[in-house]
Amino acid sequence: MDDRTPVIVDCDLYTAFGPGVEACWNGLLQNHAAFSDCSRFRNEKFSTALAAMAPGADVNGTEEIPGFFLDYLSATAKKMPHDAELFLASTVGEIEYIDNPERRCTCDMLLERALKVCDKEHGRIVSAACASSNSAFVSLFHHIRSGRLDAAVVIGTDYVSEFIFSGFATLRALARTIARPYDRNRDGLLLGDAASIVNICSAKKAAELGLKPRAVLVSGGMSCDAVHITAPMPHGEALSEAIVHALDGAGLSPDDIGAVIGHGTGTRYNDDMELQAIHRVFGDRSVPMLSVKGACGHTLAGAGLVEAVVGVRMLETGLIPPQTSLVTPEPEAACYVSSEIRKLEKPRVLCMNSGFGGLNAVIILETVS
Amino acid sequence: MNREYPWHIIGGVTVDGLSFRTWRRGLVCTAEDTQDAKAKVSAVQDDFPHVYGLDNFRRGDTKVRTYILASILAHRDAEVDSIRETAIIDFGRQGCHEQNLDYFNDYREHGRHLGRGHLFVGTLPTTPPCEAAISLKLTGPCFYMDAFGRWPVLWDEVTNFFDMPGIRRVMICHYESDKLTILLAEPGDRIEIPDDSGPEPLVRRIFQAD
Repeated sequence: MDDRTPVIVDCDLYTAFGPGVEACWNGLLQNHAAFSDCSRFRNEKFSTALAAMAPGADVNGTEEIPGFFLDYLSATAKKMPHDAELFLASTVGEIEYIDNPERRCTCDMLLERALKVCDKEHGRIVSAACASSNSAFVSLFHHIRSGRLDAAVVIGTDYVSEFIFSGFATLRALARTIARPYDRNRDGLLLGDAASIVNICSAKKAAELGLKPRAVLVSGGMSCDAVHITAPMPHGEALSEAIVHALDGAGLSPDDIGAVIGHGTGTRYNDDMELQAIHRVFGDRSVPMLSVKGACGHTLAGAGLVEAVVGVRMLETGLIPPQTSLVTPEPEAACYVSSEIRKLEKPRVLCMNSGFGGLNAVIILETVS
Repeated sequence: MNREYPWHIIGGVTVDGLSFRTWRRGLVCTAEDTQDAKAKVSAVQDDFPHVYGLDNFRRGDTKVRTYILASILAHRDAEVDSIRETAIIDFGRQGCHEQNLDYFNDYREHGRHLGRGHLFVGTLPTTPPCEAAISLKLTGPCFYMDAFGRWPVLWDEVTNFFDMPGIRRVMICHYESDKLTILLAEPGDRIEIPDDSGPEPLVRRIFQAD
């Protein structure tokens, strides 16, 4: 680790398991799925009513969820200096306001609010569909390595709204049963609320601020399928390229990776593509793999942040949570996934996301040595 | 204040409504609609070696179509073939409110049951640059960024892309008030940019000064 090594110094989560990292982490270890019927809008016309909703987040109405989440995350954000750059990973920010134009809240308004409540001077929105969080991480990794930035707060929030729910229903991507990533009988994804935050800075800045590194961001890679706006590349070539970029960037080989947190939405196309990409890179190595979306849903732009926080806990505890709701693994996944808790044998976790547009973003986290 | 960056601009295009202007070669054309624009851009392509994929041109809205055509013209202006190792940054303030309304109104008109999928996908700000990436087979990183108009953030992000392994070109997109500017940057040489300069003033200064 040198002065410009990017290190994660703090993180927090608010998911359907409730506030705090431990609520989510314990839910994952206990193999719980946090789905329930969503009553935020009329749902009888959709194939499912299930979603993973953060308890207490909508007590003041669905429209107030982003503000509620930002208020929750602000305590962690304020641990970083005023001049730390705020990265807001988001798909869109006005989704629940379209019926009430006078209460319109666009993504940039959300960033303004985030800057205010988090007490930060400058910020930027990074949007790359469901790969937004990891794209922000990869960008930030290179900014810190080059010395252009030395401290940042990365925030990702998305929530289950009628707009998003109906959109995924339109695409026939929602599960009719339950979200079962990498399972042979999976039939789609379920959506989830999440607010997540990661404070990250150079090792030198962490020492100056007296902050203890919890994990190292050792590398990242991005790619675009450039094939189809919604369907993933059938054989996962572009995702595997992003994985290879991340490995090469850190001088690592597939043998150095202790576990993979996949995008694992539970749709047939996504999971098939991911498994092929993993197989292209890892070959017959049985690297442990899991998706948190079987437990707390697909949290869209916030997904990468949730997975990064779970990755930090995996590195800190040496444990790999079981794959929630796994019954019969997809044959191609059988050597990767498990419904049991496993030990993390190597001190690195690879996290990957893919989004509409064929966007892929991969990061690698490492134990602090 | 001026800052120096370790790359240079090789060509660019500005599209204002349906009027296209390339900056290096000075090509100007105005179309009646996006299909007419496609025909005119395709005609310009006749002496150009690369055949771009326009099979799915009609599935996008006007904004998507404009991004695709402008991306092709930017390459034409720079007299370069597209290469896979191209990153894309779409930088601006525009968001996707118009596309959000298109989708949600369609969904409402269908009884709040099912809208049209392509309209939902269009609500992502990355859809236009991704459609351009599909047409030109650009497989580098791609994202949308809004930094409240802080232009040095954009230029730093271009530099950042060139720090990533394998990236040989960056396509810079900026859309504002129906006006799209797309520039192509390559590493090497150096460029000095005032902190208050966005893409169009920059490319205008570079090529009109030649």
